[in-house]
Amino acid sequence: MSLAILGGVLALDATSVGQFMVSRPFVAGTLTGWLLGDPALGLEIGAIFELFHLAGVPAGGSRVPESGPASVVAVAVAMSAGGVAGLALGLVAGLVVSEVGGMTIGLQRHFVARFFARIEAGSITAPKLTAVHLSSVLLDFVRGAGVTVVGLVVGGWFSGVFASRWPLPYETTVMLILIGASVHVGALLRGFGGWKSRRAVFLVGLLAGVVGASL
Amino acid sequence: MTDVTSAKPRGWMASFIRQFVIQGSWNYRSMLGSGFAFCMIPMLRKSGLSGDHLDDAVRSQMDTFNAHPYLAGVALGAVAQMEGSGTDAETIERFKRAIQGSLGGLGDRLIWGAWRPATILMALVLAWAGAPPWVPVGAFLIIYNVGHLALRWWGYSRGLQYGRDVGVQIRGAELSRLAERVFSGGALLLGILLGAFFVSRFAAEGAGGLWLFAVIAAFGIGLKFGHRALRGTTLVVVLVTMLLTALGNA
Repeated sequence: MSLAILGGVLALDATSVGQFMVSRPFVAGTLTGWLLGDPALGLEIGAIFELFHLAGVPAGGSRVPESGPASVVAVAVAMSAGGVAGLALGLVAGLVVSEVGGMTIGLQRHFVARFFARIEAGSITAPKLTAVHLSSVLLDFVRGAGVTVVGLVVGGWFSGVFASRWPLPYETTVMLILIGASVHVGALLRGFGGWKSRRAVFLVGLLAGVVGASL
Repeated sequence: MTDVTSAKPRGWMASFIRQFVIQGSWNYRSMLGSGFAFCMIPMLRKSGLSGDHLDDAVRSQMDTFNAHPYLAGVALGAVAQMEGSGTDAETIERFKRAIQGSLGGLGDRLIWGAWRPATILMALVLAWAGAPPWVPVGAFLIIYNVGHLALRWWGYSRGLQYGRDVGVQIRGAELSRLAERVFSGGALLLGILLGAFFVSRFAAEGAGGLWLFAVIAAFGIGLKFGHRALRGTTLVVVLVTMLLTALGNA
């Protein structure tokens, strides 16, 4: 129940209310981990999941994956499966739910558009607009909570059946995930201006990171 | 001549607070238009409108409009000022159509493209350095939202102050140059994060050169194709994981 409410709140934060970025995967993951008793693991899963969402830009109403409810599912599945299988299956569950969540946002926007079209024909008033606007916010909460619940149920079943089948050791699993994340990280550098524009400052950072981590 | 006013219309604070839910009814028909009208209601009501007059004024604000949510307040403030100074509805509509593209493009670039990823990278560097969970999360939420709230407030107050001439103020603020600086900071933080990753994964744990090559190649694909590569990458990760699970130990 608390995870469903968290999923609904995170869905609101992403678009409808505030956009304070509580719905970012590493924040949402930490909150989910805290609710489930292990915020450090939540942060770890959320940070990995974040790498897969970092380069996304919701420009001009384009459809992007929804990260908030998906982060809840990713962390919950990872924790329930446990170990390295949990890491892999949690990430996959989160990625699938984030795409499904993005699709449900599109459906909701079509639904709200049709609703407005209907009442505009009957001439809208200030109270009607207020009612429809706030109802849309409520709908977004319910949608986010619903996506979270479905994701938790399906993801829980999925991890319960397949967690024992995961064949790879920890290091190999992490490297495979890193390869996927590297595409997103490369896209992010492109978003920052690309190699030609940012290579100097990027390489300075890379060197600083290497030196700092070696000390 | 620039039309500047320091007098704020009544209901301006209620409208500012409503901006935090301006995207509540975002839809493919009017986009942000319905949310824009929703935010205008307190100022329209406090200006003395009621009944049919209020409804007419609300309807006139409901046309298609889109902008970055943090910068929509620029247009909201400007329209409130124009309404207060008796500007006709057609001019207001033209103004909204003219400014929305700039507010959308600028916000997408400055916030979604620069500020958000840069502050997230800062938090991830803190997490990687071993800070307790609440430190990166708290630092990100505070630093990100200081910029977020400052931009909302700045844009709205500029709109209220300068009305239809707010575009000149926005250009003069050189937010694009600010975005360039944040881009550089983001690239630096990205380098730091990857450098630390490199040391811990490849050097300290002795992962093979093939893995390193694969990671660099994947990074190159992202760098080359940008956003076009993201959805495909997600699909590949999901399919590979499913395949490994299917072929794994029964």
